[in-house]
This record gives sequence, C-alpha cells and structure tokens, in this order.
Amino acid sequence: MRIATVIGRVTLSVRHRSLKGERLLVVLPWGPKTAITGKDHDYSIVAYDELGAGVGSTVAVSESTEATRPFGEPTPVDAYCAALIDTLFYQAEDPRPVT
Amino acid sequence: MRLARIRGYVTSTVKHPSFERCRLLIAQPVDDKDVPDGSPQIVLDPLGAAIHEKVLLCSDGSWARDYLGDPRSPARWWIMGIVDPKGHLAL
Repeated sequence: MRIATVIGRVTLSVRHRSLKGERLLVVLPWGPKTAITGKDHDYSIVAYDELGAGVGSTVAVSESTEATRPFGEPTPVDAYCAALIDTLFYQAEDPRPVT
Repeated sequence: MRLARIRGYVTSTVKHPSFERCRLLIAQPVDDKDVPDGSPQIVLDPLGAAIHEKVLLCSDGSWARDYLGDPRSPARWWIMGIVDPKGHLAL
C-alpha cells in the first residue's frame, strides 16, 4: 500500500455497472522524497473509498489485484483506500553513527 | 521480492477491518547499493523488524490474506525476512 495525500473527489454521471454508490478520491501517492520535501509526489490516481477520507487527509492506497479483494464479486477497481493514517513517523536516515 | 529499508511506521484507527491486529511499517524499497528506488510502501510486519533495518519484502497478497485471516483484505506487501547486516551481497 502506498501513502497518498487526498487532493479531491470525483463524481460520475455515467458509470460502469459495478460502481454503484461509489466514492472516488483523487490522491497523490508519495514518491521516495515526498516525506522529506513535501512535494515530488507520484502522478495522481483515483482510488475507491469506503472509509470517508476528506481532502487533505493522508491515506494508504492499495493497488492492483489486491484492490479488488474487499469487494465480494470481481470488480474492475485497481486502487482502494485501505486506511486513514492518524500518525506517521518517518526518518530518512539512520541517525546512529556507523560502528 | 524486493530489498527495502524500514523508515518508520503508521498508525490508523479507521481502516479495513483485516488490519486490526497487525503492525504497519513504512518500507522504502532500495536497490543493491542501498539507494531509494520507488515509492515507500506501507507493509505488514509479522516479524517485528526495527527501524532502519534492511528487510526482504514480498508482494504475494494471498499469503498476507491468510496471515490476516481475511480473504477480503487489500493487503499486499509484507516483510518476509530481515537481512543480516553483516551479510555481504555477492555482487
């Protein structure tokens, strides 16, 4: 699952039959340097959301075939919002001296 | 499978129910020269890896689902092993 920042939502007027009552988030997945610089995100993707994430929150997005697992029947969804992140601790380098 | 460095952890209360009883760590995939390569992943940790340790990640979601005991879990990456810091790459 990748860490992603929610930047918006998508509302569909015409949809695939499997997407009934869907909630879609536009998210920016974090790249290797995003935790430090706050930018350099990966390209934005749209994730299916059942947890109610709002714009600006940080979520964990599950992608590829694992994104279809939470649905009972096979669903053509490839990004799924699996968790809303409360706290996130990140340390890019090991501060201990190399012994 | 991929080599990665553990760089932190996440806590989450509102999440998919299958993640109730597991640790979620942030693993930064690295290449053979320990240079970050690709987006950081939130991984399941059944082994208790410490921060900044080099670990071996596996993307076999089916094992992760068995481990969590929920066939509908969106889990994918998990820690398969912790690399011996004294071990030398045979490159």
